[in-house]
Amino acid sequence: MSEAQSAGRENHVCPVASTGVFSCISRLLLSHDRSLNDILDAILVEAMKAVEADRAFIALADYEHGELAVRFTAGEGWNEQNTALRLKVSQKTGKGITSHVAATGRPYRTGDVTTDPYYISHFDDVRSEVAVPVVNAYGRVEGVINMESARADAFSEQHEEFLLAVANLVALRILADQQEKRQAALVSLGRELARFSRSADVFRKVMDLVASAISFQDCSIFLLNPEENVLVLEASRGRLGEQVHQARYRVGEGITGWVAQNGKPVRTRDPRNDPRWRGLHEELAPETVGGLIAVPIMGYDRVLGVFRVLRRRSEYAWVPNDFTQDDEDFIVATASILGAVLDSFELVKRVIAAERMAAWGEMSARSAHMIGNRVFAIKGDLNELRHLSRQECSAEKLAPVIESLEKGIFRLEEILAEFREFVVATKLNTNPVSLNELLEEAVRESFPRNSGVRLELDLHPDLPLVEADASKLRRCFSELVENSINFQQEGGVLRVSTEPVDSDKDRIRIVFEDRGPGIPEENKKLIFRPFFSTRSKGMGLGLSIVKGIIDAHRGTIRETGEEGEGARFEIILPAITDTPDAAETKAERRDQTGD
Amino acid sequence: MRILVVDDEEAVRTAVRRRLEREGHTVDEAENEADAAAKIQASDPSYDIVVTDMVMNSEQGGVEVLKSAVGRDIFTEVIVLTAYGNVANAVECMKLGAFDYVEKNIPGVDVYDLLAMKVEQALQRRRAALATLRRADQILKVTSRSAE
Repeated sequence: MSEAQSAGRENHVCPVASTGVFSCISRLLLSHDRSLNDILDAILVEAMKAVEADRAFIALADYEHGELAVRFTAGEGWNEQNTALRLKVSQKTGKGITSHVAATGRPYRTGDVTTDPYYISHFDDVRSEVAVPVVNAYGRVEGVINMESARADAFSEQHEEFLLAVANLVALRILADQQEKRQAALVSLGRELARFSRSADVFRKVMDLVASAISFQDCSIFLLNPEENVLVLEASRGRLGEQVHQARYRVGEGITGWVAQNGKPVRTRDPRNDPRWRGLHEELAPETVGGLIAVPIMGYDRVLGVFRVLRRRSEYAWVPNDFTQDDEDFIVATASILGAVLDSFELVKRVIAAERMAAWGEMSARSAHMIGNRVFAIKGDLNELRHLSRQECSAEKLAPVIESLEKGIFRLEEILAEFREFVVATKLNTNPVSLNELLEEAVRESFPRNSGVRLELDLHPDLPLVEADASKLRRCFSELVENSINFQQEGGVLRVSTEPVDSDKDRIRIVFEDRGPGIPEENKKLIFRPFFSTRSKGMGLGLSIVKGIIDAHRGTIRETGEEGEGARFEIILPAITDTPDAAETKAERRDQTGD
Repeated sequence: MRILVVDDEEAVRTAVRRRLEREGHTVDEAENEADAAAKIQASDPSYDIVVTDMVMNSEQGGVEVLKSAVGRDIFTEVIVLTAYGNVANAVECMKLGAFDYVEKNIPGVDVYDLLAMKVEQALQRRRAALATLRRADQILKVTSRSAE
C-alpha cells in the first residue's frame, strides 16, 4: 500500500472492530427474508456509521460495458445525477480512486484528496477517502465499497481492514446469492421441463435459464444423430440460430465433436489454441472468443448431444474472461437435466407407440369380428333372396330382406368409418386454440335445441391457450355431449366446466358431468376400448377414438363418476406456457448491474 | 322341430331363424348366455337343437349355452357358430359334446345352407339317440317282464 497516504495524523480512535457492528452486519448478511439489494443498502449505512464517514457508496461491476455503476448510496449530497454515476474502470492516474481499486483489485486510502493523483471530484467537500474492492472467490472484482469524509486523515488502517472484512462478507453473500439463483434455476428447470411436449420449447427454456444464471454471449445445443454419427445444431441464441438443422459436426470433429465422442466437458479460455479446435460453426468471431464451455448432454446410456456456451473476450483488461469451475458444474447439471428430459421424450414416444400398437391389435381383432358378423348376416339375406327368387314372390316379401341388406351394408360402412377415424385420430394439425371457445362451439353444434337435459357451462374466464387440433378436439367434446344426452333420455343435467389444474396454469381440466345412469365399475376399463358400446344405435366416434385424440394431445381422459349418480369424464390437457420467470430473472439481473 | 338360436347380434339371429324356419322348424331366439339359459330351462319339451354364437358377453359364451342345454336334456344337440379366429374355442365345445361347429365366414361358401345341413344331421343324431333310448327302454321292459 505504498500509494496510500500515511494515515493517523490525528490519533483518531474508532470502535470499528467492535463486535456490535460485525454482529449487526453478519446478521444482515444472513437474513433470508431480505433481497441482496436491501442487505447491501443496510450494510453500507452500518459500515459508514462504523468508520464515521460522511458519505458512502457501493459501485457494482458491469462486465458487459467494462464499467462500475454506483448502485447503493448513503450519507448526504446524493442527487439523481450523481446516483446514476457510471465509472470507466482504469488503472491510470486521474481516473478516480474507485476505478483504480476495481482495476487493481486492491484497497486504496488517502487522507487528503487534494494531493491525490487518482482522485477525481464528484463532491466539493471531500478530504479523505477509502475504497476497498469486493473480490469473489475466483478473484473476480464484483464491485467497490467507497467511504468519504470532509475531515482530513479521517480513515485509519484499521478502518481499511474493517471495510475489507465487510467487502469479503459482501462478496460471499453475492456468491451465495448467485449459487442460490443457480440452484433455483436448476430446480425450476427440473420441475418445468416435465410439462414441455416439444424439444424446441425445452431447448429455449434451458438456454433462457442458463442465460439468467451465467453471463455469456451465446450458447447452442447440438443433438447426436446416431445413424449418421453426426451432431446437428438444434438451437442457438445468437447468429448460429439461422443454421439450425444445418450446422453439423461429425463425432470426434472439433471441440464439440470431441465432447460427444468422449462424454467429457471442455472448458477453455482460448479455443483457437486448442488442438481439437476446427472453427466450423462459430457463434462469435473466433478471435473474439474469451471462454468456452462444451459439455455432453448425457442420456441414460449414451451421449445425446452437446451443450456449449461462449463468452466474448472483453476489451477491458480487468474483466475476467474465463468461465469458472462453478460455471462448468452448473452447465453440466443443466445438461444432465436436459438429457433426462430428452430421454423421457423418447420413452413417452415409445410408450405411446406401444399403447397404440396394442390398441391397433385390439381394433383389428374386434373389427374383424364385427365385420365377420355383419358379412354373415348379409350372406343370410342373400341366401333368402336367392330362395325367394326361385319362387313367385311378392314385393312385400322382398322388401324386409332388402332393407336388412341395406342396414347390414350401412353398418359395415360405419365400421370402416370408425376404423378410418381410429387411424387418423393421432395425426394432428395443431394451432394455439382457446378451449372455452372450442367447448362453446362443440356444445352449440351437438346440444339439441329441445332437450330435457339442462346444460350448465362453467368456463374459467382466464385460461391459457392449448396447442391443439381444433377440429379433432371439437369432435371429442361433441361426442361426450351426445353420449351424455343419449344416456339421459328422460331428462337430466349436463355440466361442462373448465379450470386450471393448479396455480401454475400449465394444465387445464375439462369436466363433462351428468346425472345419467353412470358407468358401472366393471365397464370403466372397457369404455375406452374400440367398439365398446352399450348403446344400440348411434354413429359417434366412440370413446376409444376420443381417448386416441386426447392421448395424441399428450392429455389424459378418465371416467371418475359413480354408477347410479352419473358419468363424469375428466380430461386434462397441457396448456401453452411461455416462460415469464426467465424474463423476470433477466430483468432482475439488468436491474442489479444497473444498465 | 324346436330350435333355439343364440347370438348377440339381432341381424344374425334374424337371418339364421329365417333360414331354419324355411326348413319347417320352429325357432326361438336368445340374445345372450343368460337369456339362453332361462329359455332352455323353461322349455317344455326341451329344444331339439341349439345354435349358439361362441363369443358374446364372455369369450366362453358358447360353452355356457352348451352346459345349459345338456343340463336340461342330454340329447339336445348344440351347434356352435364361430367368428373369425375362434376355432380353438369351438373345438373346446366339441370336446364338451357339441355336435359340430360352423365358421360364420367361410369365403365362397353359403354358410346358411351348410348350417341347415348340419342342423339336419344333428336332428338325425338326436332321433337316432332317442330311438336307441326307446329301444333300450323296451328291451329293459321286455326282459324285466320275462324275469317275472
